[in-house]
This record gives sequence, C-alpha cells and structure tokens, in this order.
Amino acid sequence: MDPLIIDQVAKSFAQTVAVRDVSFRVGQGEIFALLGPNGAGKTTTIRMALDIFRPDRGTIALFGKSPGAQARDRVGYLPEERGLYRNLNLLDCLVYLAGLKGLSAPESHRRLAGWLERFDLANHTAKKVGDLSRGMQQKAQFIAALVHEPDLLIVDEPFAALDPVNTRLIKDVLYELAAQGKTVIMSTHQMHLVEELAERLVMISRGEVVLYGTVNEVRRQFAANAVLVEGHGRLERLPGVTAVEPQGENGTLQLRLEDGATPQEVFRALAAQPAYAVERFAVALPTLDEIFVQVAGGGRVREVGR
Amino acid sequence: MTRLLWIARHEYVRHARRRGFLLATFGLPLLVIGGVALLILVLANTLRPEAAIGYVDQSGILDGVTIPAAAAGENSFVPLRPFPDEAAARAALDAGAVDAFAVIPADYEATGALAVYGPERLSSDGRTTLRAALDRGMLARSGASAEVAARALDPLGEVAARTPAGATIDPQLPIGRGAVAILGSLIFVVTVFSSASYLLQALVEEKENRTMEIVTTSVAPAALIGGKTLGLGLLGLTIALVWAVSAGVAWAVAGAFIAPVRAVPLPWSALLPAVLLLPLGYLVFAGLMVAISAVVSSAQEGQQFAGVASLLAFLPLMLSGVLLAEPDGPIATVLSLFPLSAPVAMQLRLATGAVPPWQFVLSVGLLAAAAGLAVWGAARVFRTGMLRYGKRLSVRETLRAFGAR
Repeated sequence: MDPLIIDQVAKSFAQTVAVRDVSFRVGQGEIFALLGPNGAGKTTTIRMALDIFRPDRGTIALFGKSPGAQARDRVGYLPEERGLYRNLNLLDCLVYLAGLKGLSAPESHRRLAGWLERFDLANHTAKKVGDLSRGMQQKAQFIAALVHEPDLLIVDEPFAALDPVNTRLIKDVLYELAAQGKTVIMSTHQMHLVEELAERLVMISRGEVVLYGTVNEVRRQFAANAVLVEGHGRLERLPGVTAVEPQGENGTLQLRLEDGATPQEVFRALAAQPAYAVERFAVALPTLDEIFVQVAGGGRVREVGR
Repeated sequence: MTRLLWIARHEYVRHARRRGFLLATFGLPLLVIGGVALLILVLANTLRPEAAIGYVDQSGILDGVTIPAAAAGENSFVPLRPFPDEAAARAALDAGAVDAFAVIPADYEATGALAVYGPERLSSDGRTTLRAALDRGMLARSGASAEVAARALDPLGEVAARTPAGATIDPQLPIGRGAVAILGSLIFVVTVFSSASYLLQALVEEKENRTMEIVTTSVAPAALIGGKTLGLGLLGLTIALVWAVSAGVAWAVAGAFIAPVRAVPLPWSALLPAVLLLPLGYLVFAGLMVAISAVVSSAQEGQQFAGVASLLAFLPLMLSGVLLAEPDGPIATVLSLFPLSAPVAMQLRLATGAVPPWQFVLSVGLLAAAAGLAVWGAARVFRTGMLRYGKRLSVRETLRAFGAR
C-alpha cells in the first residue's frame, strides 16, 4: 500500500488559489522529491497531507485513510518554517516534542542520546535552543522529526543552513530510512541533491502538477537531441550532426543531432574517424536544475508515469 | 488524554520556571506581608502605651475614682499614679517611674483646661484611660445613679444590629462580607487574567517562533488547546492560591496585633459559588484568548484585543462601590447576568446581598452557554488562523471559520 496518495486535490485561501489540481502517489520505502518554485503550492499540499488544512476538493489517503489522528504518530515532519522553543534547553525541548508524538520521557531520553551523539549535539543539551547556531537548530529539528521512528518522513529543505559534513550526515540518514522501508518525501530547491537522492519526483507549478515520474525518465524526456563527447585528436565532419559546441573548459563537446539521427549512428561514425580518439561518449541529459528553470518558467506539463 | 496532560504539564512547568512568573506570584504577597509587618512595627513603636501616667489633681475631681480593668480585645488601661504636686510628678517623670503626667487645675470643671507633660501626644490607651478617669470623676460629682453613670460611660454598649426584617446580625459582618467579596473577585480576576494572558502569550509565541506547525502535526488542535488551557489555568490558580494564603496569613498576623482587624468576621462560605463561576468564567476567557491568538499576527496585537475583553470583566470591580451599595439594583443585576462580567459581579452580589435563586441559575446557565460557545468557536478560528504567520485574519475569514468543517 502506498503511504500517501493525493488525488485531484485543490485548496484556496480567500481569493488565492494555492493548489489547483494536484495528484501523485508516494510508494513505500522510496525517497520522493516534491519540487516547485516558491509559491507553487508545495507547502499547502504537505499541510493538507498532514491534516493541518483540509482540501476544498479531491481526496488524500495517508496510510490508506483520510489524514487524521490515527496517522499522526506515523509521520515525522521537518517544516520549511523552522521553529523550536528558544527559551528551553535543547534536551527539554526535544523530550517535549517527542512526548507529543507519544514517546514516554525515559524512552525519549534513551533514543535522543543516540541521535544527539550522532549529530554532534550531545555536548550542547543543556544550552538554550536560542543560543545554538542555525545549523545546530536545524539538526535538532531534524532529530525531532524522526526520533519517534516514523513510517513517513516529510522534510522541507532539509539541507538548508548545513555545511557539507552535516549535509552528508542527513543524506546518510535519509538513505538508511529508505533502506529500512521508511518513506521519505523531500522538498528542496537543491536539484543536485534530488538527482543524487530521489528515485521519483513530482513538480508543482502554479498549483498544478507539471512533472511527475522517476528522475531518470524526467531527465530523458527533457533531453535535447544531442550527445556529449570527450576525447582528443581532430574531429572531422560527422553525418547527422548539425553543430559542435564546446562545453566548459575540460574539452567536452556537445554534438547537436539532426532530426531523425540517433546517438548510436553518431557513435559509429565517431568511432570510424581515425584522427579522433573517443574517451567518453554519453547522451546529453539536462540537469534537473535546467529542467526546473525551463518548466517553472514555461509551465510545461509532463507526466512520465510511475 | 495523555498528550493533553503532557502539554498541560509542559506549559505549567515552562511558565512556572520563568522569572516573571515567580516575581508576579511571590513578589506582591511578599510586598503585602512586608507592608503589614512594617505597619505593625511602626504601630508597636510609635503608639506603644505608656507604662504609667502620673497626675496632679488640684481640682479633686479624681478623688475616689477607680479605673476598671479592660475587657479582652479592647484597649487596655494604663495605670494612673497620683502625685501631691507638680515637682514630685516631674521627679517621677525624670526618674522614668511614669512616662507622662497630667496636671488637672482647680478650675478644670469650669474651663476644661488640662496640661500633659511628657510625650508630644499620649498613646490611644493613655488618652482612653485619662478620659475614663475624668468621666467617672465628673459623673460622681453630678450625683447620677450608678445605672445612669454606667449608661453615660458606655451609651452604645448594648446596641443590637438587626436586618430590616428584624434578624440579629453582627455589625462587623458587612465589612467582612465586603472584604470576602472583594477578595473572591480578586482571586477570580488574578486566576483568569494571568491564565488567559499566559494562554494568549503561549499560543502567539508558538505562532511567532514557528513551533505551531510541528505541534499541530503531532496532536489534535483540541488536545493542544485543552492542554494549554488546563496547564495555564492551574498556573493561574497557583498564583491565586499563593495570594489567597498570603492574604490569609497577613490577615491573621494583622488580627493578632490590631484589635479592629480581629473583630471583623470573614464569611468564607460566600466564596463557595466561585467554585462554579471560576472554571466557567475561565473557559469563556480562555476561548476568547485562543481565538484572539489565531486572529492576530503578534503578541502585542493580541494584548490589545485581550485588553478590551479584560475591561468588561474588570467592570464590576471598578463599579464595586455601586454593586456593594445596591447589590439588587439594575446595574448589579445586568452585570451579574452578562457572561463576561458575571463571575465577578455575581460574587460581589452573593457576598453582600441576597440574590434571587433564578438569577443565580440564569447567570450560571448563560455563563456555561458562553463557555461552550467560546470553546467551540475558538477551536474553529484557531484551525483557520494558527499558521497565518505575520498576517491578521480578516473579519470575513474569521466569520467563515465558524462555518468550517
């Protein structure tokens, strides 16, 4: 059973349409990316999934039922708007939040000890939250989201304010959770991390789904008819290639192909050229960053299937 | 239920540890007890009765006069010591045998002129003793019978205070009733306003520091509001209890040293209706504060809205003069039926006058209905406005929230 199914959901606030028509499913044990430009409706969609708001139209199934009390303890949430009790010390704050998820105080202490140690916060438990650095607060809030071992973890910009070491730490935890069969929904603008972590994605723009599918499928869908080539020697004219464009400083060339020409044909022609030695040959796939800019700007709708 | 209690415990402990709370809870009582102690100290030092007062009676008016011992609880008489002349009295004063002496001239009966040597002013007991001696002396000279003399010395000694219906009452009772009514009202006001104010602060704070989103994805809004309402209600009750106990201690201590205070009986049973009025009144204000917290965008704005509601609850205390003087009048009746002012107004009326049972029942009924409506409406408005960061909910949105699912 998919932990989260969102079907034709819409939500408006006064005169503002926040979510027009959004549908997607998130499978168990996957890391799923929820993307979109600012104000696209991502946070509203998450809040509806968490029963903070109720949709005006459409249905949401969280663990097979409408979002509500029965699912609260199975979900962990790191909201985009970070917030902790600044006047409490770190440990008291985390124990309280864990208690809200149903953990007893002794159990919270036991579990938190391990997480605080792992996130290098064990020596800061007596400090007031307000006195911690932004990165430390971010890590503390991440711990608060997963200390009760949720089946579904929703993280909004989980890598904001983190250095590369802590980014790696969070990534490792997300991988571990997915490996344990837990589901992770990640909303971020750091597209390289989506490419690295997520298996599937949905992109919302102006309250509607504009991209939906696996990361590789989406990239392939947006691939220009071009290949990337690295090598050395003199490159002669190739049949089926309309333009040769240098890419960056490392000698990589992008070969734009005629309509109807395939990468395989170009590769064969390239291999037949004695004056040029091929070291790397790849179909030119756009980065998610490029796709994001293109789609968010143009509102192009693509659904690539699950 | 467990989450509700967890939240209640958290809110109680978190606020009880704050310096502001400790200052508000213990600061004022300490100030009051300190003030009473200071007053007693000042009274003890400045108004201490003389050990003995001497007199030189040139008029012969005090011949054969004896001063009886004072009854318990009343001012005690100071021993009077006669001296044959002014020089002997002055010598006794210098030697410390007396603290003052009076010279009663021969023409005292005609002129009333009298000289007292010693302190600037005799103590209350000293003056009473000298007055009693002279009263007795002059009555003896007038030849009045023993009965007439006794009546003249204490003409109001046998007054019986009665109600218009004829029932006997303790003349000090209205004072005690007024004191209890004011104390009961103050306890209500302190409990409700400190709790409601903490509730407003806690909810707006969670909106401002963005913890609301985590909290509302962990517990149902009803448990969140219920937990906070319970925890902070108990916090207000703690303040009220500390203040009430302090007031009781201050009253007992003052009574031990100051006779008029001791004479006033306190009808504590008049506070019993508060057991019903206090929680209902608190629920009304808690509901209002929850709704205000959802509507406003900052704590400052919240306090302004809360101020208007508080004013209505304070109104009976501000008009306590009218209410105590005319507990069955139209102003008192209306205020004791209107839910926001009812808890205080009804307590003032119950302590000072006889409230018709139907009015009490109607008042409690209206208060209960208002409490139910406030809690129901607050939950709806809260759900709509809880995540509205930095933006106030419009009147239209607020009204629409009442109809939301």
